[in-house]
Amino acid sequence: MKIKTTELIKKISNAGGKTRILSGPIIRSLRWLLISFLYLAIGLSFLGIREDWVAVMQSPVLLLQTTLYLCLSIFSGISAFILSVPGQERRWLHIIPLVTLTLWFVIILYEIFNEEHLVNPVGYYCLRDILILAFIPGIALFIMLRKAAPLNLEKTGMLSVLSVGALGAFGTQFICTIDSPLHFLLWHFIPVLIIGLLGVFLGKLFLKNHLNPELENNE
Amino acid sequence: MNSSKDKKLSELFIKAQNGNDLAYELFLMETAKILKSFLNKRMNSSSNAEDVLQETLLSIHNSRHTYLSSKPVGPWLYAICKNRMIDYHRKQSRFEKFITVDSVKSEKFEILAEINCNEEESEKGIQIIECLNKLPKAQKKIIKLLKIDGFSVKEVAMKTGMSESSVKVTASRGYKKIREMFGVK
Repeated sequence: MKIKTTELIKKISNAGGKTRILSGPIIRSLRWLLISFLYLAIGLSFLGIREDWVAVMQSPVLLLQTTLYLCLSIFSGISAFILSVPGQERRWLHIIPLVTLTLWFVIILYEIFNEEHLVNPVGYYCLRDILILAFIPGIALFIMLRKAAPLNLEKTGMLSVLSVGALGAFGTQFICTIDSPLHFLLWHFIPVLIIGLLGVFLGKLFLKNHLNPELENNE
Repeated sequence: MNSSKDKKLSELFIKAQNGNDLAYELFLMETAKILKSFLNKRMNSSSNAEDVLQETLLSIHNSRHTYLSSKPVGPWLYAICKNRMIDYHRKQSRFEKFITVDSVKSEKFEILAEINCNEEESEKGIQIIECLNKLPKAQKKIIKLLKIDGFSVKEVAMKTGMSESSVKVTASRGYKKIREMFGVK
């Protein structure tokens, strides 16, 4: 009952046809970033940017933190796109997001230890804003990754969700009026970390059946 | 894979991506030869290696739109093949953890209750597997591929040479028989 390999090859080659080749991972990353930033701009205009954001961004620590959110989002996103192409896995793909994440954590800890009066106002709104700002870029990212052929679903899922989480945190930085390091740790950093870990399961769940849509049409 | 071989395969694959079926067949033949020796060195039986090879060929087909002509084809092929091999081992170990075959004594599947399932689950497992063994060969094979090995309908169709609708019909008949054996309508 089992088909012979030579027969399988014949069957597969007959189902071939002209293939629409996927663009390279960097091009696809740029497309995704464009979609995400457009959505971020729309999202921020609806949620409302804090009035003093220009003054706040002049603080070197806050500016560094905001840059790190952005870097984490971009690097993790690019890594996820590269990982979605077989044979492209490189060690630096995991190291750069990890270094960025660690740096972000170290800066927050440094700030916490140097803060005289630690306050932690409840920040449900920040969590809500991160999720709102990450939602559409997340869906767009998963759709784009499914069009490729990710082999390591857990890793690709984690990097992609970490990327959209960091993007949400980046946007929230322009909304949130609480400049307390403890608040940043509990309501910005930890949610992004948890969201990133959830990506392991989301990747297994949603990136699994990658099939070339053209194949379905041909058959 | 040396660079001249890689270049040759890459050229064939680019032609295949442009719709040349003959080049695609040649590419798959050459790839099958290379991957077969790669798998034979890493797997305990040639039959298992053949299974993984077939799965790899299907995955290559499903992922063919991701190959970029500017890159060598070797790493792309081996990455897919290694992934299929790991997946195969994972499925096998999951299957072996769940059941062991005592073919010498009674040809019955025995559930390893001490692993993760309680007594009730083990009994149900034994009953289902006994029912599965009573099914006609074709139905048993299809249900095993779908439900134990975890292949999709499309993959089972490709592996068995049947159409997708035949796979669905055969599986559905098998499920119906199992339900009947359990006295469920």
